Amino acid sequence: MISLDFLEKVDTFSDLDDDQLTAVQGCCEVAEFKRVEQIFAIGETPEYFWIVREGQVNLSWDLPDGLALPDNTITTLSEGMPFGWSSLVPPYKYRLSAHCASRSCKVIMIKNGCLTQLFKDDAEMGYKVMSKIMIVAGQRFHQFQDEVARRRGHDIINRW
Amino acid sequence: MSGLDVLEKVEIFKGLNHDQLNAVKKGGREKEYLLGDRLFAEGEDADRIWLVLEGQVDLRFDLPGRPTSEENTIFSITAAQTLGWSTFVPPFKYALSAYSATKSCKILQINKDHLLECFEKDPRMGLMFMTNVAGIASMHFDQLQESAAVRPVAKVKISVHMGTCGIAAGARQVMSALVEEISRSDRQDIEVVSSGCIGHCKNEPNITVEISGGEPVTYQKMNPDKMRQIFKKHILGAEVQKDYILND
Repeated sequence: MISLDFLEKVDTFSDLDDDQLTAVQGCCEVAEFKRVEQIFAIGETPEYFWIVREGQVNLSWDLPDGLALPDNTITTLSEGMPFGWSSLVPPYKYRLSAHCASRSCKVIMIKNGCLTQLFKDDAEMGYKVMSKIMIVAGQRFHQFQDEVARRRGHDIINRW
Repeated sequence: MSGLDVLEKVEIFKGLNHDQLNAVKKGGREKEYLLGDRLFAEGEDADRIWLVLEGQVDLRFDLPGRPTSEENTIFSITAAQTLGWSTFVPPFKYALSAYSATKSCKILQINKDHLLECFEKDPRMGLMFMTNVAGIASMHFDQLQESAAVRPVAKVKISVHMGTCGIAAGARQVMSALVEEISRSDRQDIEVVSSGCIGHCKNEPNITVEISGGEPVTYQKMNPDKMRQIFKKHILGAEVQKDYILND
C-alpha cells in the first residue's frame, strides 16, 4: 500500500487534500522492474500513469527493438517523479519509452481509467492534477526539443 | 468572424459550453497587427494566450544582430489557432518570436490571470482546458518527433580544406571554432564538409562558403578568430569579408 505521506510529496498530487489523496491511493498498484527492463514502449496505448517509488527510470526516444541505448535517453527520473503523462491526454499514445535504469526499480502504476473517473466525480481535483500534468507534458517537450537540437549539433560534428 | 464564433472552433476551448466560452471572452482583448509587426519576442514573459481571428502569424527564431526573416519561420498559425502554451509551463517564457505575416492580422489576447480566475470558479472548465492544452503539447511532440527523424536540408555549405598543408597551418583549430559557432547559433541548415588541398598551400588554411547555391567564396590564411568573424558576418549576416578572400 502506498502511503498518503508519499503521495502528497509527489508534485502532481501536492495540492490535494487527504480525502482526494485517499481516493488516488485506491487507484495505485506497485510493480518492480530490473535494470534495462522496459516499462513501456513509445507508441503503445497507455493504461497507466506512473510514479517512481524507488530507483531510477530512463525516458528515451528509442528504436522499436526495445533496447535502452544510453544515447537515446531524454531524461532520468528518480523517486517521486511522474511519467506517462500521455496516458491522460488524447490521442493516448506514449510519447517516449521508459526503462529501469538502476539495479531494480519500484514504480507506482495508476490506472488511467481510475484516475479520470476520479476527475469526473471531483472536477476540482481533476483541475488541480491536470494543471500539474500539463507542466510535466511541457517540460518533457522542452527536454525533447533540447535533445533534438543537441543531436543536430552532433550530426554536424560527425560529418567531418 | 467574431471572437465567440472562433472560440467555439479552437482546440484549447473544445468541450466548453456557451456560458464558459462567454466567460473566457470577457477577459479577451482584440488587437490588430500589420505585416511584420512583432506580437512577442523570444524570452519575454508568457502571460497570455493569443488567438488568431484573422490573418496569419509566423513563429520564428531570430538571430542576434540580424533582422527577422521568413526563412527562420518554424510554424505558421492561421485563424482559429492559438499561440502561447508556454504561458502554462515553467519557465513561463516564449520560446520563439511571433510576427504578423499578412497585411493585417486580428488577434484576441486572453490573459492567463483571467483564465485562472475562471477555472477557480469553474474547475470543470479548468480540467477541460488543461487536458486540451496537454493534448496540444502531445501533438507538438508528435510533430517534433517526425521532423527530428528527417535530416534537415542544408542551405549553407562550408568546406574546410584539410589537406596535410592545411592541417599543418591550423585547419583543425579553424574547424573547431566553426563547429563551436554553429552549435551556439542553433542553425540546422548548415553543412560542414572537409575537403582536400585546393593548391594554395602558402595561403592555407582555406575555407569555402556557399550559401543557397550561390557563388562560392574562398577565404585564405584562416585562424579561429577570422573563422568566428566570417561565421558572424558572412554566414549569419550575408556580408562577405572581402579582406580575407583568397587572392588567386
